[in-house]
Amino acid sequence: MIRFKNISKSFGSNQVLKNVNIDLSPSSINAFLGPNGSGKTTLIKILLGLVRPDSGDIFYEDRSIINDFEFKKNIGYMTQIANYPENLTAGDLLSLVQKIRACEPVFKDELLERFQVNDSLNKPLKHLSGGTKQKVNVVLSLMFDSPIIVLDEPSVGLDPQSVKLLKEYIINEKKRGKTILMTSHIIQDVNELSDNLNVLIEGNIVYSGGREMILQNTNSTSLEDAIINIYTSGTSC
Amino acid sequence: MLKILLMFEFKNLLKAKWFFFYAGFYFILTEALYYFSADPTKVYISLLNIILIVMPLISIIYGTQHFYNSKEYIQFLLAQPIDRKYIFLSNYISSLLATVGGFFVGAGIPLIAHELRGDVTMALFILSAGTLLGGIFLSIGFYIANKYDDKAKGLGSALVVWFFLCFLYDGLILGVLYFFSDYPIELPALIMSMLNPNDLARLFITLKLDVAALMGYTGAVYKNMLGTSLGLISTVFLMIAWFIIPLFMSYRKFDKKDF
Repeated sequence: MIRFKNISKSFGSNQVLKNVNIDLSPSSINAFLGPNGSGKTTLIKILLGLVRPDSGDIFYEDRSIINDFEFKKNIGYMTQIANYPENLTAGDLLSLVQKIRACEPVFKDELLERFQVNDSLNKPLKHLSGGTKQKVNVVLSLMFDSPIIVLDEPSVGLDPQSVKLLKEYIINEKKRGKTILMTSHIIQDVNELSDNLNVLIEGNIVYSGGREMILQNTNSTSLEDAIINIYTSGTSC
Repeated sequence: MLKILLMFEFKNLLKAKWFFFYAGFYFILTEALYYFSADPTKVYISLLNIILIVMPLISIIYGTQHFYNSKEYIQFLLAQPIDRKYIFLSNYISSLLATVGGFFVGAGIPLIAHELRGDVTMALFILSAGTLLGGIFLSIGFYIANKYDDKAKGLGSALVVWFFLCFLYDGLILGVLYFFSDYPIELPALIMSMLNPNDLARLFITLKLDVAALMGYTGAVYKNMLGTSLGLISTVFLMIAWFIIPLFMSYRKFDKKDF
């Protein structure tokens, strides 16, 4: 269980997160949605240790993990922009992360084969296409048996076949007990993958719950309409 | 952990063309100076004048630019189980190797080769001054990049700092000397010089070259105060302080920075 407790964060005079509280259970895919600047990326970055909160704490299995860099062994993180030192190969990058974590990448071979990255392993990253770099990113984030997986706009830059493979993989990982956090603006991805939706507007969680409940509460027939209704009304439901 | 990150950074650096290009520039420059002048003192002074302008510019711009360009990679590393200080250090050391290392190899090989039967000490002084100057401006560049998230603002600030310390500051000292010429201003002027790393590097070398007399009465005062071993140690100490303080300040910024 991951518990975000009273998380607040400001950048200068702009308060991005206002006393956010969320609980995330194992075996679940949790989507974070919201208009641009709503605070969803900041919330994810606080979990990853990229941003430090002004107040509040995050607990993982009842242990505070703010400022605990060792905790990140438990996270597989897929960044939105795959931008690594360009002169090195994808193989060098995988080897670096393997050495940093000092543990066996149990799913590496399977992922390399599934996403057809094997042929690109020895090529410098600067010679790889954006899509292939993104596939390398997928392998990097999922190759360890991490109990938490964080996906920032996971389908961006991937071809339809890879998106389908990734979705199947994510659903399978959920079944294996992983807690998955995902940000996305693509409603189709959210609809197909997520169990729980967390909608942020101006730093507040205005909705947190299942897909069916959001449709019911907003009197909408599609998830897209329901989310737009929440964005436009900007109030809790 | 630092070793793992450094090995990765070094591998990246060796595969980049920059290091060889920069080292090649200093190699050709030093060789050309020896080719055109048989007097090593003239070579040192010419090389020093180039180092005093080029080394700070390249180091401060490289430091700032490298940090901004590595932002996504730093974010990726921060999401891994690594202490922030190792990420900062690996980034800094690899930049140091790219700039100062390039200078050290490029200028060092011809300087040492030509001076093996001459004054190797002076060649080492030139290399030390260039190395310290590169480290200082790289630290300042890192501090600026950590302070400003906006790349244009960061690079602009880096250029302003370089221009101020390499050109305007000396103008200020000259102005003070001119306006207060009726007063014994040499000691305050010396103190002002010591507050600028570029002037420190210049003093460090010119006093060793026995050309301070060309600087008139002020030169004599400088020679008198800094020409001693204590003066030399003070100059080196101040340059190391100029190297460490911005480096420490940029680490503090990095440690608290939101990425």
